[in-house]
Amino acid sequence: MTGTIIESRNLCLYYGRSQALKEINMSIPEKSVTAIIGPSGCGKSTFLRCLNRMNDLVPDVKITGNLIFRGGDVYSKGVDVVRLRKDIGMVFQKPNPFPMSIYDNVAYGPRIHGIKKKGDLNEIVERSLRQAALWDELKDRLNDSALGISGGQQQRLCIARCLAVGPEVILMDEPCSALDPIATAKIEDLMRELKSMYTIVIVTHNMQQAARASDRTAFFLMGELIEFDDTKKIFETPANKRTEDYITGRFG
Amino acid sequence: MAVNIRYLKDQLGILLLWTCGALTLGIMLMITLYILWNGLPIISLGFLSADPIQGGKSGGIFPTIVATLFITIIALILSAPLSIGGAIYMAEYAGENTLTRLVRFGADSLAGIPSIIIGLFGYLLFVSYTKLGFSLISGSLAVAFMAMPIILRVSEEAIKVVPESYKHGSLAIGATKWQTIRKVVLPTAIPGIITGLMLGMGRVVGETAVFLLTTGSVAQIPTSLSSAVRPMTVHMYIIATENISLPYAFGTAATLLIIVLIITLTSNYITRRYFVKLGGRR
Amino acid sequence: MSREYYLQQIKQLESDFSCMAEDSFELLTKSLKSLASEDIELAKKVMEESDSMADREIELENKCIELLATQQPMASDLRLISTVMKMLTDCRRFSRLAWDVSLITIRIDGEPLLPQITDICEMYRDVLSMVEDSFKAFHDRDVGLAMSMGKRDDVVDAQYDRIRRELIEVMICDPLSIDMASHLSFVARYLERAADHACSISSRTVYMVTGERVKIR
Repeated sequence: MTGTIIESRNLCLYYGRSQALKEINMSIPEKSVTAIIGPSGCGKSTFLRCLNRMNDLVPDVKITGNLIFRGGDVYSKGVDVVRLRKDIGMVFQKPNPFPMSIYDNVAYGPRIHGIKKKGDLNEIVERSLRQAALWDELKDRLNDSALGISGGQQQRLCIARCLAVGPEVILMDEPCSALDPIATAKIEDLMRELKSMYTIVIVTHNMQQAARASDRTAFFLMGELIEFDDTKKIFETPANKRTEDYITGRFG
Repeated sequence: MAVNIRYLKDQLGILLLWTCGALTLGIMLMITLYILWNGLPIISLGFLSADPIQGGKSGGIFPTIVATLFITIIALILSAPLSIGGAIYMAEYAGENTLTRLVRFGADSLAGIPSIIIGLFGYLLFVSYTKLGFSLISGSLAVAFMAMPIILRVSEEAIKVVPESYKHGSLAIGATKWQTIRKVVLPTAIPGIITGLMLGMGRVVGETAVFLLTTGSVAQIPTSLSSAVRPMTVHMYIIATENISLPYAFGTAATLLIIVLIITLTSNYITRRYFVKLGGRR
Repeated sequence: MSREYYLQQIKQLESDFSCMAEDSFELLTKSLKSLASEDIELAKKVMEESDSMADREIELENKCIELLATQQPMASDLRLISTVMKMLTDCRRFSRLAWDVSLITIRIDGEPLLPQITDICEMYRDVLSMVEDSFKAFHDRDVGLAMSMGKRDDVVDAQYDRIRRELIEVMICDPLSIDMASHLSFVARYLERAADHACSISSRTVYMVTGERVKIR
């Protein structure tokens, strides 16, 4: 039905001596929502950060294996990391809008990639805010500080900021864990709308969210990928006993 | 019964702390008020705009004000870029290693060196060896050494305090490290950096010993960088110790105090306006 | 192990359901006994107990819904609870069939039974063992036992067919016995229905254990 957009082959990650990711083999389908679940410390966020090479910022990290995106290995020499992060964007656990106006936040991405004309920027800002379902709420407050809006709006602003650079993939690291249930529901609705145009990979420790909002779910445990299948199958009839135990709350 | 004793101790503690605060404030106020009380009557437009007559016994202190301002500005121009640049490097690029620890230690030590020693160093290096003589530039260069460690340390802290999340957010959109620093980190750290600059300026404005050995003591308006000048602090020292005119010393002191006050208030105002622009939340 | 309370609730639900299941086919046995020995008192008692079964069914159904709402069960727990909810209906059917048989006992009111009653009792022995085994399969999560219900149901269906035909012959030969014959015919029908419910329970058991839907009849 849909092709694979990112494929991880035997991906291993070491923090110094300890191995955080063990031989991860996973094909992420495009234009869908893939959820990654698992107990704390199982490596799901670490794996997510490998996809856009944010782990490069952590000292003492070693990565082996391949991560194929658009036909090339993301970790091969000479890859333009800055360009990669334009194509694979990220939204973080705690909303982190810059201490600037709402407009400047969304325009930040396009500006650093060279778009200077006011008209172009206006268009991009409006389009991104519309896609993030924020335009109606904020269109009269574009020059207000981004720090003055609610947590849920801030997180959607971060999503808009991400969308403004035109990525193919959006990574979300527990995007709703700092938000109330209504804001969470709005973001889940947003994901459903966005997946027709973007590939979304979301790490969540909230199983119900993974069950509600994703098409495929991966279960990680202690650095290994235990099971990866359609969400419906994982939550109704998981194949692996460890997946079953985690999902039914027998541990974790 | 036990609750009462705890409550009593609690109240006692608060009282103690309050007393300390009040005492500190009180002493500060006392000094300030004493100087203003004795000095304000002396200050007049004439006092501020005229040249000193008879070595300062009468007349005004205009050239000294000019000297102090010029020295401050030049010292800042010399020290700020270096210090702020160094701070950016240490906070963002160098990471934690022996070199940065050494630099920090060096800066702290430099900040602690008695000013008379810096003055002597300035005399030997700038006045004598490089033949710059007793001049505006010698004084500015020497006192820049005193401002540098302060600006460096405070700016470094201000930059380090910028949340990692901002940097991650910027990098994750595809910004380079330098773009991130220029567009997100520095703007956020500006209030702290300005504080550093203000503290540095405060140090410079209040220096005496350094100038005694580097600027000379000619109370004239400088015509070039190599003119000898007499900053306000030196002027105060001279007319007070050589018993020329104590009231005028107070007048000079009061003027200096007011200048420092204006600087502090201005920087607070700028910082507050900036905070509001950032979003008022920190 | 986490979620102690939740796991306890699930265990409790299963054991309550097993109790109700046992009671329901015990009722069916009693109703047959009341018919065979024409014991009207027993029949009346069976009807009373059958009514109270309805309340038990609702109570257990509420328990299931409460678990779904408050504990968000997943995977095998979810399949267990949804299976129990459906099986409650089957259980209720057994007690309802017992009620129907007892009503017939009361209607017959002491009149002599036809000889076919022996066949019916034999048919019931097979049906009872089917019902008991279907619950056993559920309790033990025994897929093999569940799948074997299909064949046994065929046997029961054959028995039902034979009894029905015999009773029709009796009705044709002796018009005075039409009343009795039709009553007994209904009883046989109820027993055949019970066997069908046992099959339905078995196919739900297979779904619960494997996640696959199979038809057993």
